[in-house]
Amino acid sequence: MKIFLILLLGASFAANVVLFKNRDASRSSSSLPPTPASAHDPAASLTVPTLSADIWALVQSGDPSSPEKLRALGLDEASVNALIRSQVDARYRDREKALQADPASVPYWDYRYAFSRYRSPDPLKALDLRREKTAELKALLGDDYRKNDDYVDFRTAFLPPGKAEELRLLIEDYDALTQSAASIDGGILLPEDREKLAYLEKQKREDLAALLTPDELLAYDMRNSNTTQSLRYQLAGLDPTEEEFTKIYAVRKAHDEKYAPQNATGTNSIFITPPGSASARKEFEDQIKAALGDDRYAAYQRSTDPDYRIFASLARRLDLPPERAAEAYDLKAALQQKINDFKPQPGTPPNEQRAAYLATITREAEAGFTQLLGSKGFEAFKENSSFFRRLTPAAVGATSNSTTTTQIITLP
Amino acid sequence: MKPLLLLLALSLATNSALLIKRSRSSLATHTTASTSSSTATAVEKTSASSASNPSAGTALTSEQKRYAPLWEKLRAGDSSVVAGLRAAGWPEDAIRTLVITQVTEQFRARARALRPDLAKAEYWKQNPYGNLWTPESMKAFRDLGREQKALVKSLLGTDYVPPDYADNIARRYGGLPITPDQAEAIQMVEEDYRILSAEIRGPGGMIGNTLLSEDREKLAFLEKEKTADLAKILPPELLLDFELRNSPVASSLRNQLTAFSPTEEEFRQLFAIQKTADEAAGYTMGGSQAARLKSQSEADAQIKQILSPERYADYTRSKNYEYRQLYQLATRLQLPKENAAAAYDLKADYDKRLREIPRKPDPENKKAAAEARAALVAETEEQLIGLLGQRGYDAIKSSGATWISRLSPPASAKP
Repeated sequence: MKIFLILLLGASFAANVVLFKNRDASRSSSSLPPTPASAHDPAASLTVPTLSADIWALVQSGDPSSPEKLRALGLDEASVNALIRSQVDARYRDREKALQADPASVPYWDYRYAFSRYRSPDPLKALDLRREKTAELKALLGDDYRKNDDYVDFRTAFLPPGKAEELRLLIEDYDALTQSAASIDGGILLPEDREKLAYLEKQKREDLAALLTPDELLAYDMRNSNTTQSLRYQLAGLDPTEEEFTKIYAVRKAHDEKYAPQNATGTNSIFITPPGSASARKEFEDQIKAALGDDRYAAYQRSTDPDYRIFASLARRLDLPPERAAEAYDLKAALQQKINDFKPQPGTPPNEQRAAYLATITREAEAGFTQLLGSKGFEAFKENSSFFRRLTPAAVGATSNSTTTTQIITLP
Repeated sequence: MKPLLLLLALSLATNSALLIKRSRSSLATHTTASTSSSTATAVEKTSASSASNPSAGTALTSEQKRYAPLWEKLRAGDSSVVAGLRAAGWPEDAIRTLVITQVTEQFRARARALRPDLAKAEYWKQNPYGNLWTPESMKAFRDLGREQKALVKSLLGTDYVPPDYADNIARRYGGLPITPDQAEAIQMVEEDYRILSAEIRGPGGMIGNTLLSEDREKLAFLEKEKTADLAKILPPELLLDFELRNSPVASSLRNQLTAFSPTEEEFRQLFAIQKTADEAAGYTMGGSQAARLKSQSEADAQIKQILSPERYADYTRSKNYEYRQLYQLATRLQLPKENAAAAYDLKADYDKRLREIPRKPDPENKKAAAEARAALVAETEEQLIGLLGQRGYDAIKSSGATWISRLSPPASAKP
């Protein structure tokens, strides 16, 4: 019995040793390394990297080795990028703040209050500081340090990312130079301001031409030029295809360069109506007609009328057939012709004749537009267009006008 | 015998304890390993899609692989990671940066899916970039942002505010004592009403859309409701200060009073009157043109009662765009503001004398009429140059006042 007990005890001791050793082995094969944090609850079962004060000091100071040190700790790329950037931000914060406008510097009852809060009093110094910071970030994180930024500048979005960034920087440079040269009041420019701005515009064009290929420059202009901004508004009623827009753009751009005066910033002032003499405008219209063909040219002509844009918008808003907009436009053109045809007859004073004549046309217009656009559409047209205001001579007065309006609202 | 039995019992108990511990440890290792393998795929995918720094395109380091599950836990909102980092002595600003980065990564794919691709914008159409956002996508993006913010707060505490937040609030709200909580609530109200307005205004907002009277009524209602919601966030005095700085009424009034140069007291008085008038006319977007004209006329009558005759004359003039241009010019050239007023008053005299010259004279008087017009233009130009100086005259000709630019073509105009 005693021998049996001794043997059993020996076996049990042996098992003690094996199990104890296995316990150590199991711990050393765990996937996470031991760290000081693992000793603490509630995160006892969790192991986290140890960020020593030395490494953090390197990150804070912008030491070139700091990104690699953070990677070696087991941080992923997004975290390395963010930690480095946050500390660069922290180091630049005071200098950036010194170049920002003081929000209390312009009182809220001053007209400059709205824009002065966000505009640096020294845009060129602010730009220099931004560039210095960018250089530091690039040195630490590489050229694409902004890869985690999802912000895209709409002016450059048509280009591949690298080129888009170069263009963004070029635009940023000239924006700062322009801000610096122009009056903060945003209103009045003196002749010397205009000279500076015209010079900057010329330089900017040269830099753009050097950076972009001719096709890219054309694509940039077609998205960002004054001509494009004007055409987008003007052609809303035409709803052009990209191909049509390209053709119209080419004709209009050439025309503006030839006939539009230069504005304050050294670019051509853009007007809704093409500038120049009657013969120049006729030449312009002929070129558009040749580019679009007869049918689309007719639609183009309609689209240049502000009232047609209202008709097209109302047709969309009220779910009317699109052709209603064209029909309303034709009605307006016919009524306009009638107004132009008015000729007073001998007898009654011309003013009274004209008032009566316009009152008849007003009734005709109200009935016609209501039939085409419905009463809601008619009211909206009347509110937004100058057409009816032109139909109301002072002699007729408000009473006559309000009576006809009431009659129209009761129409089925 | 007894000591042997005791030793045996002790040894067996130790074995049992070691066995239990081992089985628990093995279970834990298995769980971690399976979590690791599932997250490793995700991390490698993330790594494959990122290409930023010197190690771009290279495989993850062994330490990055080791801790990938930890960051995955953080992304999933496990606050024990934050506790672990704090326990390990990580600086608080580093922890904040890590949390925000990991939460942003967690939401990045969903945010990118909602954000329109600007490269695909139909640049040849009106408002090509604004049109890419619909009320639905705006709503989804807002909700995603709020979900993301809630996750950050669950990890860092509800009182978490980003660095620079106080400065941003001060800048945005003109230095008012608005707390971060109030600022956040205001931002939420503004986001909500922006989307509600977009639903009424249609794709692309105001640009190119003609509003029906029912749309204007709805927009007016929204403006009223928005003000009521802001009143729940800010106490009355702070709300008034907020509106004086940030409301559309104040903004429009500031612009209109450019050349009036109001004192603070005048601005507050005029704001109160204008706000009441705008509300009566259906707020900024509501009401008809006729209602707005009527209401403005009533407001001007009240303003006349509170200002001195001289200041009321200043107020009336300042509403004219051309006078504002002349005033800004005088300010820029450091001329007395009376010169701007005198230059503005020249217009009435010029118009009156121009009307006295026959527009369609008889053939025999044609030459005399042309000479009279030329003399009037020359005299007016001389007077304007006297008031504004040659530089000022050249500037105003090219900058705004239509009647002056028509006297003779501006120097910069092409033939």
